[in-house]
Amino acid sequence: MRHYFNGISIICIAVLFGGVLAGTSVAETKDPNIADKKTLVIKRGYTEEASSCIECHAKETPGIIESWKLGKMGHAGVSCYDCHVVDKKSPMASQCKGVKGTKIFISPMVSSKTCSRCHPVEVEQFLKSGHADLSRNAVYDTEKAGGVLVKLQWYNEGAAFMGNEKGSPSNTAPQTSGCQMCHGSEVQVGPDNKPIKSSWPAGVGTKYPDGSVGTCTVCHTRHRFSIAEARKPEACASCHLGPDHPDIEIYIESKHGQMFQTQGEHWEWDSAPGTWQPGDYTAPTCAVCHMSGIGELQTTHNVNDRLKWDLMHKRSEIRSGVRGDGVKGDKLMRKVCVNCHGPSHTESTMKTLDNAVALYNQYWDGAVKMKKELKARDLLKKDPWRDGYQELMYYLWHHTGRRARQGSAMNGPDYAHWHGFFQMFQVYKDMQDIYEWRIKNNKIEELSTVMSSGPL
Amino acid sequence: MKKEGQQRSGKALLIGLSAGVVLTIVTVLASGFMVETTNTDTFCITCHAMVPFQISWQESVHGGKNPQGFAAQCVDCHLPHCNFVEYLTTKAITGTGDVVQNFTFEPESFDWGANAENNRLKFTFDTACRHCHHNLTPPGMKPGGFIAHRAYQRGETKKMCAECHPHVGHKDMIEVAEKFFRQDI
Repeated sequence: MRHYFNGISIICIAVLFGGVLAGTSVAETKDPNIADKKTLVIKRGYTEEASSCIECHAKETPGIIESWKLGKMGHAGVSCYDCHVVDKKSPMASQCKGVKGTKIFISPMVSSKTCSRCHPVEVEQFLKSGHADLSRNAVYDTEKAGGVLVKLQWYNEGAAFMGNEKGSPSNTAPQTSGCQMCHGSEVQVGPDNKPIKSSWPAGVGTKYPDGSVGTCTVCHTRHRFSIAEARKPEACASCHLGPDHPDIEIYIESKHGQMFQTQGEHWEWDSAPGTWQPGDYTAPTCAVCHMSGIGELQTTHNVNDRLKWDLMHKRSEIRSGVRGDGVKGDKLMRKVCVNCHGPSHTESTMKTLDNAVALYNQYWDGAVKMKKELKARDLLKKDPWRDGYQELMYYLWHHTGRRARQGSAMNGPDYAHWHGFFQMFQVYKDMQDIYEWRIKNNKIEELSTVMSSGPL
Repeated sequence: MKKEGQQRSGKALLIGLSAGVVLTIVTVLASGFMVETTNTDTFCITCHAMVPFQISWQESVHGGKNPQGFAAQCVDCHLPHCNFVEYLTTKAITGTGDVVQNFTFEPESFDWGANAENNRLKFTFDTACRHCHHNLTPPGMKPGGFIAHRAYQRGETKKMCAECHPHVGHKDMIEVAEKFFRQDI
């Protein structure tokens, strides 16, 4: 009997225990794909407030903290607090839930003005470059080019011409998804000082509510802010690509790009600022020629500094005024070249560009002359996007003409030729035919002769 | 002839007297005593509009809220410290300006925030900061400040101290000023 009881009690205990175990395991069961929140406790070198930002964001936005802690900022002890805390009176001042009820105010937006507190020289140079006001003005300045650049976004792309309401979310979609992401925006904030209307985040020339300009994180992406990253062509490629200025494609096609692609993984990318020199690399990236210190040249964050020609606008001129000093730029760029090339090589390359520019300008001047005559005879449509001549003239400049010029400048023969001059002469001949037809018949043809989106 | 001579000497006396009076005023004003007397925060707040700036200064690092309890006076930051002549000239000009302003503007409706943003660099002088802050790269300094100050010392940047350190002299200055003048009304 006793044995029985013993046996039963053991079974009971076992069942009970098993039940408890099973219960526990049920309670702990959860989706295997959801990881625990990461905890990070950090005291070293930080004030209580600064470390609480880090610790809270390690849980809330672990991706940000992971980036930060692997970067130079994390190593230098520059933390969330140093860049995101703003004066209470700042037009960008708001409070995340972590600082609600305290006297600390923050902004998710950080402009070059904040960076300039530690990097004043870099930001001063940057603000003089085409990457600051000039970049944003191209898509925001209602005065620029008679307002056609702004009109292109809301009236044409945003379908206001079809009746879409100006300023509505779908009307501004082309601007917020496209233009501003490279060129920058004018950030608008709501009553809580947080950005509204998708006006943030935006590109390099962004103007912030406190009047400051410039987004350094476009090239040194947050929150690692890597110098190595900005030295790689991919940093430039997020904007300098595509049919209108295929700079990364041209680079990849060039001998410089070939060497980068085949040897770049063995290069030294992380040398200290100002010490990155030939030897660390065996061919230049975009940064080497346009920005980095090399040979006797100091590093510059003004990308216009080493340029002779303006290869972006309708007629190529030697840079002057806000766009730089082309005469000086030519001399500086040659000082880059001498680190790897003899004088005849450099001279030949520079001469090739000069000749390409002269040829392009010849096409452009011819197009301008014909347009003037058409205008004088009232043979141009008011809407250039319904007028074959004007559409083709746009592509002559903005797509094919830039490809020819920039392909010649950076050694991309396929872009200089097939995507460039080869298309330019055909576009020009079509323009000539339209011009002659209109003059002969003294009227505008009924349908645009350019039915597609033009030469791709 | 005699009459003319008397007239001439009368004129000379008058010129001499007024020159004497002006010189005396200037000498007294520029005397160590007067300079000292007008160099204190208690003198500055005899203009009513300056009171909130004294309050916010007292709450700041430069007003004594530091481990040493050491305080910089208004003029230590708001007058240039390169040479005595410039110091006195600026003191005379800004001081007179302040007196005139005090009678001609309404502090309650004045945009103190915009004024601070637009004119900060006109009334905060690098030579003043550098009068106390000799060593711009002291031991234990954070790397960010270190590289910025090195660029400043090498003359690579033309930035002024108050561009990167705009709020060090007064704590919550605009907030305190707005609150003060609101209560005033």
